[in-house]
Amino acid sequence: MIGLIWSLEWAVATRRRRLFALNAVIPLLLVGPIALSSAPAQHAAAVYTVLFTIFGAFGSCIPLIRDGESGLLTRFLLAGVSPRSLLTQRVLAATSLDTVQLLPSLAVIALASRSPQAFGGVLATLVLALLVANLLGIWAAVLAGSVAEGALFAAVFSLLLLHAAGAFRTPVPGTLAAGVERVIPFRLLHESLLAAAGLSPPGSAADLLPPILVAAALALVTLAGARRVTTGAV
Amino acid sequence: MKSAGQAALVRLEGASYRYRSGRTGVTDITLEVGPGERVVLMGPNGSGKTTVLRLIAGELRPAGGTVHVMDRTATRLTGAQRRSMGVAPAESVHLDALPARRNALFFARAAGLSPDRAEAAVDRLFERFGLAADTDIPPREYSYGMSRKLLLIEALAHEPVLLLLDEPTLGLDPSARKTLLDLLHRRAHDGASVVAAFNGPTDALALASRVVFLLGGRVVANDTPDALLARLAKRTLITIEVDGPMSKEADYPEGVTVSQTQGGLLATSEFGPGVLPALCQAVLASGRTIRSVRVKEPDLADVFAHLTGQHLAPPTRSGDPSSPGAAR
Repeated sequence: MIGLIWSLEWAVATRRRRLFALNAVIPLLLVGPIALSSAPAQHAAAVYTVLFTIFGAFGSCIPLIRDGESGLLTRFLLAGVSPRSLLTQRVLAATSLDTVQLLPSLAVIALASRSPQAFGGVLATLVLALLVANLLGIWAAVLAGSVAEGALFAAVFSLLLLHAAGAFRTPVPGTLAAGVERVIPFRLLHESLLAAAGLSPPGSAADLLPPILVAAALALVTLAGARRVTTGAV
Repeated sequence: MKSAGQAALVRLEGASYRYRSGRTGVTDITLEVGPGERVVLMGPNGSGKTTVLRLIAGELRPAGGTVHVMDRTATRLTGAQRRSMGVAPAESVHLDALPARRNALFFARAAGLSPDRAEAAVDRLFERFGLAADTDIPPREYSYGMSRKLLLIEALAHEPVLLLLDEPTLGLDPSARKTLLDLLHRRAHDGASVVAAFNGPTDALALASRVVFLLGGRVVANDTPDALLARLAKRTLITIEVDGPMSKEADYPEGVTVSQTQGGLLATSEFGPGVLPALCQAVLASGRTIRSVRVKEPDLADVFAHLTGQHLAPPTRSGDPSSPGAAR
């Protein structure tokens, strides 16, 4: 049964060709004009980080609420799919699908970038940011009573964390805000986009560890509460 | 009934459930289902049939009492135990983006069947339910009945040891209905337990080794169909449609109990249909005109009405051709 939900998610996504294409084209329509314009790189990096993060959070939140409301989640669980396996596979499938759908946008950013060689780092931090955004989306789905509420919660959670990650302003060094900024996983995506624009050097390996640990902790908490998460979304 | 020495697969002891709105789902339900048993839950809409099925499935946590399935609390079943169950809920929910066969294969694989076995089992059931030509169609393009068939295929493909079915014949054509009943009898013969909710008495009678009547969330009766029908043994129901007012008191024959219904009379005869001439004569003598007469042997719906004073609601899209009141 390993991979059954993963392959199901991919089968559903690729079967809905129009939606799949829209999910690739719409970010591109937002990214393209900014990447090809003379927008300041700091602003462009912030916009991309916000876009990609919310894209990921919506990607797990809305389907989870929809499948909970329709009774599909219950059917999966009653069929013997464990809540942990269900969530793990859904999050990983959603993260991989989001990454694939954002690749065209990433390619445009790379083409317009001053440091295309930095895009290995952008891709890696994008995957991490999407993983965290998908986990956030799941918790937004648990708290939400409808798809509209879920979208609202997912956007609010993402924006608050993006703010804490320094996407909109640089915290004063030595303050609590600066300490919080170091551990928010979205910071890595923002900084890698800045690095690709030639605005800052790539972060050190030591800078990577705290956000990765926070992402791992969020994943563990989500899996530990998997039963509650899946029934809460029903 | 459960054979002596065989452990019950399902055991509810004083189980109660109340919905968030405050509405009572069920109260103090005690019920055991052993291997090979075919237990049918009957009752009008809102009587608690679906709640009982959802409690057994572990979908709902009882507010009081206990629900055990395969000797574990129903909400805490292992993955392997869940995979040995087949559940067909009242709502047909599918992955509408994928073809029907892909849907069925997913559930068969989720139940632990190998790819080859899943394909063989699913294809065999599509054939039996008359859907073999429609396997590549997404379920959203299916009719209501086809969608119900797909749901049943998904519940049956892995040959579960416990089947929980909510109105399984609803929307089925006669051929599919017969196929389903045959499959359920075969599964039970092989030792599987079946718990199914029905509205219609004919399907209930065709499946049940035991019938549980529910009303207002409580068990009203729990017995074999024969034992339940025996409660109305030798009673014949006669429905007479009449016109005009009664000009004088009718002198009904002995052994006949008559009650007034809308547009007619409902008579219960303890002496079979032989009382019909005398009964009609009494009605005519009371000044009324007879428009039609229907004679019917009692079925489970009549037993339910006899025990509870209430009628089973006729199913909305019944696959049951003889809902209460069908004429002979």
